[in-house]
Amino acid sequence: MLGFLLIPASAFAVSVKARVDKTQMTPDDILTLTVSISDADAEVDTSGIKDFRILSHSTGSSFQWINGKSSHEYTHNYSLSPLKKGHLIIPALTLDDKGSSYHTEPITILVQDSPVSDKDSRDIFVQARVNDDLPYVGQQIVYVFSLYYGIQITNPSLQVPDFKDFMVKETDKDTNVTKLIGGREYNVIERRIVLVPLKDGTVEIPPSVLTCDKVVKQGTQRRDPMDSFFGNSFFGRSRLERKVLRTNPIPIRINPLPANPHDVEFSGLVGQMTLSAAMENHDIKVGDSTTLTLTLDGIGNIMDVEEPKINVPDGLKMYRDNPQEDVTIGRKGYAGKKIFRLALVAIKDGTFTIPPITVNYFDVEKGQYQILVTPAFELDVAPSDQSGERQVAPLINEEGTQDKDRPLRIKKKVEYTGHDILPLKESLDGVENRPGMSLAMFILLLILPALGAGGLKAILLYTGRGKSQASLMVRRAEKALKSAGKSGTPEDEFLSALYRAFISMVLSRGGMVGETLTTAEVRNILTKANLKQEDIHEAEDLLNRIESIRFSGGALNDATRKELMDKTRQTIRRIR
Amino acid sequence: MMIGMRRLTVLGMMSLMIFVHAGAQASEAAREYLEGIQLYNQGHYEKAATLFETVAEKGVINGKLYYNAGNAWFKEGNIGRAMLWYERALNIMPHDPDLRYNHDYVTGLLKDKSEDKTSPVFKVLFFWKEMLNKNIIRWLALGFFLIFWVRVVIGMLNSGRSMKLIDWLFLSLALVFTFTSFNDFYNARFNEHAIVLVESVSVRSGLTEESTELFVLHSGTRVGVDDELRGYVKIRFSDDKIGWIKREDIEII
Repeated sequence: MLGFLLIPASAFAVSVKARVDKTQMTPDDILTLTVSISDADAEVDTSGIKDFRILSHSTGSSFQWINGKSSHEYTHNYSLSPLKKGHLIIPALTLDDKGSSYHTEPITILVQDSPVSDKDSRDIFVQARVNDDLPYVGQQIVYVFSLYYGIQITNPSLQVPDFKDFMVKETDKDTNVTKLIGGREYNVIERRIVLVPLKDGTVEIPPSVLTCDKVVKQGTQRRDPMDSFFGNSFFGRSRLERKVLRTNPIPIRINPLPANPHDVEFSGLVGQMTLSAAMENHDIKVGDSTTLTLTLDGIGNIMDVEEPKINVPDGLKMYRDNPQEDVTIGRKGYAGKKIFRLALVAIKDGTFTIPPITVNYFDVEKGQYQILVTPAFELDVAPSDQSGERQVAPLINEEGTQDKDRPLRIKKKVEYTGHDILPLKESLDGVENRPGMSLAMFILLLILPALGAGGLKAILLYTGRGKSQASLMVRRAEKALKSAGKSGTPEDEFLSALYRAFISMVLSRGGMVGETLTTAEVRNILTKANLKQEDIHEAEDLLNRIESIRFSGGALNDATRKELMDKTRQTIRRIR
Repeated sequence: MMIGMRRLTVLGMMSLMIFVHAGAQASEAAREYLEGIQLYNQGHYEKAATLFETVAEKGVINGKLYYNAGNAWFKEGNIGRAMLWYERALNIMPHDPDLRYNHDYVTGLLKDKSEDKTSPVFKVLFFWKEMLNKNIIRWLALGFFLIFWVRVVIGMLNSGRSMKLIDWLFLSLALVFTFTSFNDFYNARFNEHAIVLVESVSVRSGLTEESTELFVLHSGTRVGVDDELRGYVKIRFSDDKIGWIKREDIEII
């Protein structure tokens, strides 16, 4: 039963449809009726609903923008309670919009006391069919498996039969559509498989088996509007119920192909075909070429067809290009075209006739062999501009046209002409044991260099060479500063210790060792160490001051000594 | 002194016997291998395949040997065992052109279409896994680590200089290849695969012959192995199909 009616063309393509959430129920159940109206906002006349009481009514709208066109859909949802038992009817509902009337289709609902026994099968079911159960040998038929589900399912897995008496080719994609059946909306997933019978006789296609998990809501049905939200599996209030569904077996009677009544050899094509032919040029000169194109178009095993026999008159030479196939697998099976391009090269002048080309195929609609015939083609060949008969070595490119600037020669894509595996490897190293690196060996080899480096470091530390020159210099600076800070240190030793502390710290920044530095060297080292200019100036001033006191021999009072000590400490801290 | 001399003589003789035994085993394997090649060339494919398998059972791990076993089983018409040995050979020499050709050819003859679920993004991000074989990746990891540690040692000897950008680069490369290698070791140990050996086998929902048949697999199909229980193996096919199959109907790669 069709649950909706599309109203014939109006300017705004208004459409109205009605659907229900179930078609069988008990008197206590609530039925949800949804009326959807596209591109019109009109009131629905529900006065005709006599078998149900309308409990509630809500509306909604949505807006879509598809391929540059906008559309509005308005929905009216009604909660209906049955007033009696039996086959109740929701009659055709009427809408008036801008002077036009639109109607939905009536929907029948079965109301009975006992719960519906085959509820599962109505919620989810499978079907299988073929588009022709009386095919001929070699005729392609399409096996369609359909899964209908009106509830939430998960983990579907399909096992199709073996199709042992057929050549099998699955279509690339499953289709997914929505269908209204008995007023109820189902998601329908379809898988199409093209089958070509290999021998005649009666065969039975075994059932396809679908396994899936049905999502079952836990607990009692609540009519709380939040129920649909909190009752979902996300909040763990659902469980999965394993379902195994089988289609019915399909008997098929495969007819043998009748005897070929014609003189023309049967091409092996089974289906529905057309043949067309065209010639590029009808007037050429000796040495030039023209392309004859033959196109077989239709439904069937087009890809298997060989090039039709062509009788080329003397005076012409024929060169074949690789046939071009444009065959796709669709709802009806293999369909498309195969194009044969032939380069005809004139080697003599004169008028030549290419006789009609014939293809004998078996037409599955008519159930008989059919002969396809092209017209005859006339070709006028004028003498060449060059004197004498030219040695023709034609070159035809992939498109079958002639390249004028080069000598003519055919180029073809190299393809396998036979299939087999490559031979044995006979060298004796095939018996050598090459187990590859084990995990233990890999870990060992990973660790070894690290252990070596660690051991070397330990040795260097033990021998005292492990410390870097920079750290040695820092230690020396600290030691000298400590020595200078001791009370009672003689003046010359105090100055010498300050100098050593300062120089050592500067050298540590340069990663060097040494005893003395000039002011220029200090500047150079500290500049490379990216010290601030003011700090470098202070360091230079301090060095000049220490050297000046050291070498001038001036006396140091306690205040100057303390001030010099603090200054040195401060500068060393900045340098560090 | 005399006792010491005697001990040395006994030890020497034992070593010689072990050496001679190992040599005899090696020459026996070589003889069987050559005989297998000869039988193959004479068209006795089953005998050749059995001999190649005998050599492999003696512990010889060699991609060429496995390749030859695959060839012999294929010529014998046993696609299941051919795929088993080709897969084993691919683990050792995945880039051998002859092997890849033969493997692809036999794969084209299989009845079950397997879907490669490896994400293309993964293939791009971890391109070296596709380009290099496992042993090369391991040696690269070791090589980069060696270079890194040599540079560290040079740094230690050279006044403790700090690590430079090039050192970090070597360390990064070493870590990448090391992680890849560990991933390979993990997959080899815990992600087992097997080949269906029988012509056609029902994969069932449980561990009995009465369990529901979920789907059917055919000879030569590669499956993942998840579990083994009471003579049945839980297998995985194309990521989304799982079921139980008899242990004797498959062989681990």
